[in-house]
Amino acid sequence: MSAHGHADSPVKFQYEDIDQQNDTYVIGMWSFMVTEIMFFGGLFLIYTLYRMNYQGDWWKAHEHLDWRLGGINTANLLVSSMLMALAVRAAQLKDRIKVMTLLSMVVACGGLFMAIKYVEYSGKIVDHLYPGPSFTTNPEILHGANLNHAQLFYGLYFGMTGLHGVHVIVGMLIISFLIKFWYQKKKVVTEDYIPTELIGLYWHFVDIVWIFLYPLFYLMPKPFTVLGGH
Amino acid sequence: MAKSPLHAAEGHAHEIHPVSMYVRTALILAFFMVLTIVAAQVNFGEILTGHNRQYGYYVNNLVAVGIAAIKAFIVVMFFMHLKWASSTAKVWALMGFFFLPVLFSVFCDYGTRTHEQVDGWIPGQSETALPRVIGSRDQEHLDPRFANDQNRNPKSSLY
Amino acid sequence: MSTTVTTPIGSGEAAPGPRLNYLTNGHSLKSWLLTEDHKRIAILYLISVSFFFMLGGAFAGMIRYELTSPAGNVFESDAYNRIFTAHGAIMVFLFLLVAVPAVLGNFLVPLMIGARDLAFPRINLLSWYLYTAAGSLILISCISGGVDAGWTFYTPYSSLYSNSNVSLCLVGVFLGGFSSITTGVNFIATVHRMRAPGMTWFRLPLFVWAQYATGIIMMLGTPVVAITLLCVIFERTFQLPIFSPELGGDPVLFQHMFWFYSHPAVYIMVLPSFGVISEVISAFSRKRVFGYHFVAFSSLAIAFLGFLVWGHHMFVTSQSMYQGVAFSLVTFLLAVPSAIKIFNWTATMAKGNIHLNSPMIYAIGFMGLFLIGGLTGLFLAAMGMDVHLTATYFIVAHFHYVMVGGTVMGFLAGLHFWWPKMTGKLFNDNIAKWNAIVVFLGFNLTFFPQFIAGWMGMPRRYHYYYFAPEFQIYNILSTMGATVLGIGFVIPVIYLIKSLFTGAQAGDNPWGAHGLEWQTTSPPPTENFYYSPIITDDVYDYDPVAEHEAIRELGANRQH
Repeated sequence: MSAHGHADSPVKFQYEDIDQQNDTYVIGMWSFMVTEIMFFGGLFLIYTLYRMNYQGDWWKAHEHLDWRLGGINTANLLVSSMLMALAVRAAQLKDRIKVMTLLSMVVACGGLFMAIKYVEYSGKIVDHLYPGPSFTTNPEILHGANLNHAQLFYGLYFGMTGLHGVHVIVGMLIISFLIKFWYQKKKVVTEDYIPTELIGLYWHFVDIVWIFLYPLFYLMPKPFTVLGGH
Repeated sequence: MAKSPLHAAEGHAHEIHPVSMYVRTALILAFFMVLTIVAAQVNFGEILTGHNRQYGYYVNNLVAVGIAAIKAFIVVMFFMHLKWASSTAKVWALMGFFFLPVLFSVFCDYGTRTHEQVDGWIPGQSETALPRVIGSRDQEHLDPRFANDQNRNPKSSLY
Repeated sequence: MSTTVTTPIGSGEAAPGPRLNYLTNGHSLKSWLLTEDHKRIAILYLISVSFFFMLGGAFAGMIRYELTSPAGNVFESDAYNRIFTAHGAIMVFLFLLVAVPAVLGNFLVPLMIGARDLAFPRINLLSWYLYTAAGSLILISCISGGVDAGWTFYTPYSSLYSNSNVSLCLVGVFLGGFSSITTGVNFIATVHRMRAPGMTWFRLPLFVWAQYATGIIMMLGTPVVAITLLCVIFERTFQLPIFSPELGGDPVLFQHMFWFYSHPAVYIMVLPSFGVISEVISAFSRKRVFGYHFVAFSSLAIAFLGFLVWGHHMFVTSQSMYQGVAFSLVTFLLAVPSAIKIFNWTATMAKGNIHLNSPMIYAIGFMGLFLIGGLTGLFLAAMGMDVHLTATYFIVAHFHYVMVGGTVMGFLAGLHFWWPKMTGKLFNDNIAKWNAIVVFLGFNLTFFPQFIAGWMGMPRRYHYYYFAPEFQIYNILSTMGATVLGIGFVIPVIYLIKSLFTGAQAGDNPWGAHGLEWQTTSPPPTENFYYSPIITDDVYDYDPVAEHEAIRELGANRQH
């Protein structure tokens, strides 16, 4: 009952103390993560089915993606994840300057990620690989893949990486607000590290999604049929 | 290790970990990232011989997804501090990973389908399905160019 | 007091000065629209949910009007498609999925577990705004051009062919899903961490157990349908082919993913009502719920098994026969936890001190209707019979028995039961009792003939049946019943609103029920309790001897 009615206390009136509040926040965030897992899980389900059905064409279509750019982005997100974890650690130590520095670096990593995505996307769009009526009619560009199945591939490519990109942008926005709150010394973030931790959880989740997207889209193995087997 | 002053009594849940722990975690993740790229260059379909060649593709995929799962586990445990979280949080975190296989049980359907042959529909060729514009179905689907489709998955009974 | 909860709260220990309750604590529009009080948000939900219920009912009325004649000459086919889609989408996404959890759950979960509010009040408010946005979008899409894809939005019709306002409607449903997720997350975190001292898991009222199980389904299921519908939006607006059959995509996968959520969604609709019925039956039988643990765990079992039966909606698609058999078996299995609940409620009533107040009549009606709905569900779970009955009025009658008979009866029972707590006023229980009977009879008159017509082969979603005029008698009976039912839904609005102005003051506990929410004042204060409650006794701890004495003391006028 320590914190009833104190406007600037970080403990909300419905909680008894900060521990209860923090515990509840962490559980709430993890349950939200579960919904996010199921959300992306649906897309991975669609991906798995079509990939099973169109192994050859999808492999040929995927050859147009640059695994190096994807790899740079993977490393980039990995570093940003580490920086985020360190930012949470700095928040635990209440080291305001360090928190703000590390969080800004995280946002910069997110910006770099989106910049590389922009380069990738524009490369695809220039080659008419965006699905729809304007989809390329030249199978050469896709190493002879069936163009219908290649459209499915690029439909899911743009759908899944696009949705992931939206999550990155949302994460960057949230982290920017977090930096602003730290800059303004808002008690809601400075008194306890849990708000920073929760946003960190979200950012790590975005990283985890990319950990799966990268091998699935950029590092496809050559299927048996393309190898020449029967 | 130092404890947050607010939660001295709470125990290890709010422990502050050394920077080296995070750096080490990141290095392990980087190692797995390199490993997954290397593993993708190796084609198990070419390494395996004879009848087993056709399983190489699945080995490759299992390795790729397995490494991704290990990486995700490391991120969840160490970056997201699940290792030190309350058991309720652990249960909820696992709930999603438990229910994903339930969703993926859709493949019990696709794996066990049997189909009767439909006139004019060549299995494995989506072109022969009903075209986008209703009523314009013509003889295109009998085009012999598509008769030998190498994209057909030999394992799939979907088409 | 006939109950024996030992808490520092009591009617004698009122705080000095005039008491502010949550209704009188601020009168401006802003104090309502920006409130973070779970009780006010529940009232906001109540108003919006009632509005959409009436709207959906109006569309149902149009359907029934059209079907009185076999010729189908009131609406064109196109208009009729839009009307039944509007009816389905509004009722499912804006009423059934929301009504009990968001209105009664929001109001009661913190009160029942002795918390001052839900865990995340601001997110709770956000969920109402998301709901409102969802409602507005669905409403706009229904009146500006309409939606003709049916509430299930099956591809490729919804994604390729439909020229109606599908995308906008889907965005609305997507936002509604978000609102549902936030409610679920809120309930789960609240039940886990906000319980008052002494409120152990097995002292939780069954209503809270039901809300918790509902929260699990909302969390695990809703995102899947969200992504599925998002894929259809992608397909329509961004031309990303996801389920396009002409490119090799699989529309049946859409059905799989859609029903992966939408079957459990039936339990989002009906589980909270189960919770309400447990409370009401126990309170008006003056007995502990028979087999409390079984009822509690059957909620969780339903939540879990509900995820394993979606394929029974797809017996006539190209789904594998073998998986069809598995789905059929699990569907039969799912009848067990539902039956446990019905048996336990019946056993609770046995030798109970039954008071036939209006909530109890609704609850008994619920049991009758849900029983019929559940048993006809078993017909449909049998694969062979399902092939015969798919897309007939038998299905329509079955799911209306479950959804309307289940959710709406449960919602009305709960609304009547907790109305004195929510508003502090007593309504006219005599009218309410008669009205409950009218609703029950009207409901059966509406939907029972549909079983017969469906059994004879009347297809659903047709606006004419000149090829089989023998169906007309059933349709006319059904339309008559719908009229009675409509009256039965309007009368409560009148007497409940009237009670706000002329109703007698309800005491803290007008029904003599046992439970933490009855220990605080009616209406409760903003912080729910004047003193932090400490729970020392069991749930539903009705004491027959004390009850008997209390009734003798207070005389007959107390209950009637």
